[in-house]
Amino acid sequence: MPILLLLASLAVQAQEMRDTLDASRISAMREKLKNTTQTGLTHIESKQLNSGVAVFGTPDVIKKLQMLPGVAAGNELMNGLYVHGGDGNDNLFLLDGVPLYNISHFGGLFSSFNTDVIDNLDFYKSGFPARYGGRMSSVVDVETREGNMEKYHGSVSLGLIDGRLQAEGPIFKGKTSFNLGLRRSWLDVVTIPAIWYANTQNGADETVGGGYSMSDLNARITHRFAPGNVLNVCFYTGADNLRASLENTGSKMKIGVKWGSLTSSVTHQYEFSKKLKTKNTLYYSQSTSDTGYNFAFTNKEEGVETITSMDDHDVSYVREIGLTSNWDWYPNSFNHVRYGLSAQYHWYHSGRNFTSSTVQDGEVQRESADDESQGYRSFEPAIYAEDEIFLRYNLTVNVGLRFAMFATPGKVWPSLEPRVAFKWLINNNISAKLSYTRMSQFAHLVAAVYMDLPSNSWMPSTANARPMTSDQVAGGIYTTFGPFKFNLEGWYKTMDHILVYNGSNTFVPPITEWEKSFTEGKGRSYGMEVEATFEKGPINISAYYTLSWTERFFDAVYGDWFLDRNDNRHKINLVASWHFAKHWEVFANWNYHSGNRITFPSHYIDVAGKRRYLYDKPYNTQLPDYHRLDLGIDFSVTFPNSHNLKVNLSVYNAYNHLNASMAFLETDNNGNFSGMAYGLVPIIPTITATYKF
Amino acid sequence: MLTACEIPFEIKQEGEPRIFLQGVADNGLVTVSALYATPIGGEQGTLSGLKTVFSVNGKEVELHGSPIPLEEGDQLLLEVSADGFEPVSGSTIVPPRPVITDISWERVQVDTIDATEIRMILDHAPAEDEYYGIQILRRDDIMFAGGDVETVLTNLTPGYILTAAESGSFDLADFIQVNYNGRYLGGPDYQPITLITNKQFDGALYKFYLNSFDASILDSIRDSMPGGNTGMAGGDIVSGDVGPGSGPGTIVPGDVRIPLGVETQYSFTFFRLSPEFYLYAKALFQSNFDFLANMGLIPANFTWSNVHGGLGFVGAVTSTTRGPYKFEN
Repeated sequence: MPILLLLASLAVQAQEMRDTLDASRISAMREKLKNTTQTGLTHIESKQLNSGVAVFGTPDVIKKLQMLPGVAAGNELMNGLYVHGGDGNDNLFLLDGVPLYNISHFGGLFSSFNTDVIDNLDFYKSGFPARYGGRMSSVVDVETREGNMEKYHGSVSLGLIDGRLQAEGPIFKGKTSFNLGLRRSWLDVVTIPAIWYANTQNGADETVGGGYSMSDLNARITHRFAPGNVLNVCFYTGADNLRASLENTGSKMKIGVKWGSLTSSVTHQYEFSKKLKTKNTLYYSQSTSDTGYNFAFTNKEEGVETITSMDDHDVSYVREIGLTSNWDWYPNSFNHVRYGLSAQYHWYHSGRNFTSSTVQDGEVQRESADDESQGYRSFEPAIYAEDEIFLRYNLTVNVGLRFAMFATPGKVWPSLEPRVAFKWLINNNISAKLSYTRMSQFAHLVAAVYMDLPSNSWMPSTANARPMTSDQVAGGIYTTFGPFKFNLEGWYKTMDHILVYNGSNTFVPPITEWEKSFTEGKGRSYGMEVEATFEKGPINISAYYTLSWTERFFDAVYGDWFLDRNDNRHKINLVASWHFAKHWEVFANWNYHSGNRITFPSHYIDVAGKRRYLYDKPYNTQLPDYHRLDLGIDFSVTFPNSHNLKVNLSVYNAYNHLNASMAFLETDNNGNFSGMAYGLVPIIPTITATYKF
Repeated sequence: MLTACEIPFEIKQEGEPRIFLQGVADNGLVTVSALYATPIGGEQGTLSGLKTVFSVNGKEVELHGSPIPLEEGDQLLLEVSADGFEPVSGSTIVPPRPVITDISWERVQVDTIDATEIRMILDHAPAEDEYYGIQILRRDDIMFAGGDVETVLTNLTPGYILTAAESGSFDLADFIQVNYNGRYLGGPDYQPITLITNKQFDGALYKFYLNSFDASILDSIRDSMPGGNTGMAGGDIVSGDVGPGSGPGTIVPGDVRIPLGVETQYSFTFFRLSPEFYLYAKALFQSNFDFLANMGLIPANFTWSNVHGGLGFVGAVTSTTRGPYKFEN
């Protein structure tokens, strides 16, 4: 028994040490953020990502970011990330320095980032350093964790809809390590009984089949040649697989959709001296979707069997091979110079293939095929330099310049992007910052719908589709008083050459000459964010408020400025956690924002006895305000062998408030009009158990 | 997991009545409609003290209801005022009349369906800001025993036209079609016009496909007879009045006659649209999908108007009619 007590005591101490380490690391990061020159930067550590309420039992990077001020989430539960009035497809996602084009699973319900292997992430909404480029509205720089060089560790997580496995440890002790993360959903497994039951009810004449699965695999191998000489090899692949089939007498239908991403990189970090270090990465990234359906109808008349079949096969991808070389130079104690270059070669492709045939008694009577595809290759070199200059002990300026070129067939688009940020440390507790940045984006998401569907594809800027650009000024006051932190930040952002789908095909955008189905316009967004946090011991409370305006101008749509659909004028997020007992921690998030906007008829006329509705401007009606409470509780116990079991119970939308997801104009018998919104997402409880070893 | 719950909410809009103005110069015939647009939730009303000022190249021209000699490039301005309303106005430029240099056809198969490919060649390759439209009229002369001939006129809808651009199933959904009768756009009982942009041309060539319905008109008529085509002798038909409309026509039971054959001819009216006409027509078409926009799924791109201070549009069209053509095997 005394031995057990001793082991338990050691385990508690080990856990406390881990907590202390995490706390000190977070505290150090907070200090760094106060001292950093950039505006609009949020740094999130792994511990923060993996604690709190987990929607569907899976911690999700994007859903964490959606709670931050200055970010609109769009449709409920989806992975929308509309940063400072952005379009949602203008965020640069980097995984270990590699651009990731598709960041969603299941149409946007889950993000592609497995938090088990993430070390930290930096989220920039403004004040972008010159080393980042290629997207207009934000940068999400995710870094996976190096594997433990000394001991083997891992974790297993089981949730209601997915499971996760993580393992790390030395390959050569002290020299080489690995970190591996695997995640897979089991919706396809749990739906097997339902499909079996449906088939027993249908009888022998009809058979249904299908299922959906998603999976992610992250791997990182780190080798330390010597202090300051490190090699990292990183790999990620994520896949979604949806299939459905229906077979009955005379007809067969099969649908299969696969989509996903793959990235791999080799990064070498080398420290020449305390004054000069470099980080060079060679990488490959691809995002692919492959959609196919097949219909076959069999008809037998007077002994002659006729099979009519139709096959559709759509493939789209974007592939990118790139090289980045980043250098840090400290020529003296007043300057920190960063400079470097990048070069990316892209392949963009979208193709559709449709075939149909009629076969009579085994002989092809009729066959037709229809192919269309659009492909581009482009080259995007860029150079940058930035200098963090310590002008005085309390005045810092970061001056940077990025020059990028985008070469696409028939056109070369140059882009000169100045980046400037000032920081004035008024005293030890208060600082003021101001920044101006210009960003360009040479990739366009060709999508007819606001969902992450496999039918979406990425296309480059062309001679007809200009690069999108944004200019943003941001500034604020940042204070820290003991456990309290209070930040106030404002921004004004303009966006040019942004595209909105204006084609007539409602769901599937055209492939060839896709540019003509988009209309060009501009946008602007301005507002302010307030962030107040209290953090002391086991209690952590944060409150975020955003007041913002987001507008668009599309000549071919309206001809004047109008409020955008994600113009959430007020947004409030309250986040609290309390580690109230040794094994217990509770979490609560309350989310509120002004309703999204939709377009209702504004007027009507009666023509020939029939009513015709008229629309005065886009997004003229605001949906009811959105609010939701999420609750969570962790039970955590550390065993004598230092293994740890954590059980998380999360309740999404705890008071079951159905928020408006869509709305329609309704008329009663007396001709009175009203808006009728429909809420779709109720209370969702989930439970997840994680065992760490 | 997902459920649905109704949430009634108040519609907060301006609520002011507006003037709805539609002015179309169609081959010189200028038609103006000005209506009281009732705000959602507001009181219905009428326009009084209506005044219309129409100018061509800055000179006021009186509208008599008869065609006005308009030239390509004429700048048209339409201003309308009414008691209690600020004046509203819209302007457009008369587009050139389309010139078709050649029409040819051949039988083909499109996605396993027998079709007639029509190839229409303009005098130039359209530029990006050029917009066109087409109306296709099919005339079926049904010949009966005894020498009677009955005519069915059908304005073809997308179900009849397979594709407007290159061959392929995907272009079918690229159709933009609204109703237009030369006076009014978007009315409930007018004839369909299919809109065409330069992307649907191959140089100066516009190519589209018609279903081969020449023979099946008899089946179509037979199907609409009482009892369908099951209990009657092949070729029997119930005659009645049929006239222009959007389909084979309504058959009123009457004498039983025997159709011997049908002769089908097509004529084409090809329009050149001012950008305002096109943008408004496109917005009208896309308003059919407003429910998808209000589910947050697609952009709301159906609000275009060039009437300053009001709603509606002012646009111009010119047209050329070719045919009738008999596409025989």
